[in-house]
Amino acid sequence: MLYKEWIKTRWFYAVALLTTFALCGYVLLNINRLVSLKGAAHLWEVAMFRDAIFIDMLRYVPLLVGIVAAVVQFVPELVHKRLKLTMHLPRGYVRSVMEMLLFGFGCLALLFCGNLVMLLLGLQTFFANEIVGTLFLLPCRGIWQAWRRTYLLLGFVLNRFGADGFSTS
Amino acid sequence: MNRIEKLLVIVGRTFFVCVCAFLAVWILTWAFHFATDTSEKPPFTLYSTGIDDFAMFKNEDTGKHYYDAHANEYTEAQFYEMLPTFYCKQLIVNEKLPDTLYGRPVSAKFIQNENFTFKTAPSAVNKREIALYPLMESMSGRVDLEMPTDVFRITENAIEFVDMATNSVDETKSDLFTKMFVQKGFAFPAHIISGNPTTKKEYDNGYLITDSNNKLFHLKMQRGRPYLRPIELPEGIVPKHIFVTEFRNQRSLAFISDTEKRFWMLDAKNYEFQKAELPDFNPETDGMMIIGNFHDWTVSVSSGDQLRYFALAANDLHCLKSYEVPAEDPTKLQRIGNILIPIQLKFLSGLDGDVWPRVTFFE
Repeated sequence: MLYKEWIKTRWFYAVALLTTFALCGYVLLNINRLVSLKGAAHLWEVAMFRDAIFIDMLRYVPLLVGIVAAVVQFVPELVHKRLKLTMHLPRGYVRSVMEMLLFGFGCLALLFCGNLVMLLLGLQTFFANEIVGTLFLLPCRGIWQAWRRTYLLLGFVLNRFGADGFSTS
Repeated sequence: MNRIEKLLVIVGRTFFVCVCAFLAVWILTWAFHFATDTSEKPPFTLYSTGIDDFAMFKNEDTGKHYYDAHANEYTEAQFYEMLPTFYCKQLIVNEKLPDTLYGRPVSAKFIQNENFTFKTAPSAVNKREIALYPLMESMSGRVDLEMPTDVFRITENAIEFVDMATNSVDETKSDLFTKMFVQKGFAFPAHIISGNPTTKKEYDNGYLITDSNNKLFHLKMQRGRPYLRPIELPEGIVPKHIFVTEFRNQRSLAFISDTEKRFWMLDAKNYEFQKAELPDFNPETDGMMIIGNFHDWTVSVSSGDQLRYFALAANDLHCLKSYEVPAEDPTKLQRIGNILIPIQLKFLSGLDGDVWPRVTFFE
């Protein structure tokens, strides 16, 4: 199953790899150009006090690559009715679909990890760790905070309902 | 389908329904509150010693409206004369600026020198900051301040200066400052680092820093040399938020709120603490604005929907008068809406810059 997926999507991932790395390279070259034009101190200032993150043009790249990856992986299956054939294999179709999804998820994760490493190494030549950390860790910390608070909120709601249940019973 | 597959389908459908319900609550409540919001901007309010009351100004459809907290009406000219320090320039143009104010001879220069505005909002206090700070030259001998070419960080055992052009640590400068920190008994790492890293100010007073033992220090750079002075904290004061002031009159070094939610002014000349007679103030949840002059300060404290004004005497910060803006009652439509959808879901808040689901239950 995984080999079948690889055969089907390898050209797409090759193009995606080149495109995303080229975009990361463009962002880093752009920062380099700004450093030579306005000076490193100016860029540090706008990063520290005006929340500039310099890599915001990459914001929608993961979304677009993800959508195209989904199209490339699943549309041929639907058009050529191969998915129906897959469903008739002597194995659970949920398992088959899960494997296909995991393959796509794994490939995209590898691709974006590569991009991340390239950006991290590139940005560290221009900025101190505190600034680079903010560019990358702030979204991660935001997700963690969101998760922690949602979890607490859920606990609060459950407690509330639990308390009501006790008082009415 | 076997049992596991059936379970997966049920989980998938439940997840889909939950996401739809979540989005519906978010969009519906936002749209309802957006459509029925009737809240108005509060009137501009300042304490007037002349009438010993809060003078207010509102721009309405019918025109400008000048009045006080007891609903007495005033003309524009009367309003300017009631607040001579705030409308100093206007009174100069009208040739109405008095020579003596509140028993003290004054000049336009003196009044303008003593006037100041201070503002803090929870969104700014709760904002995550990058722990790098530019330390300006406080005695450059030049009129305009200049941003330095390096920034400092305080690590577990030292203060480090990082040159921005090369992104490398300036070892010589870092050693010089670290030695001074050790010599003055600073316990690394720092707890609070507060300053105003901008050149748009009259002068530079450096940073106020608390160490890991909550001891307070004043850091400046004078002719390239470190200036670090320990500041004695009165018994029971543990600073929680520090705001370096750098006002033109150079009277105060900083405003400090402590762990007991008290508000203090740190005197710039003798490093003494003066307590402001204000109710509990927590900069993480409450906003504050001070419009001050040589005689009195008007302090507005906003917490949630509550807005209160306090007039403080400038010399000893005791409370002269207070006024609470009456809260607006919800409209009929809002009440019905709150009963029909007794919950509001928002992802943003004025208290911080984070994005996460925030639920409010209406009583």
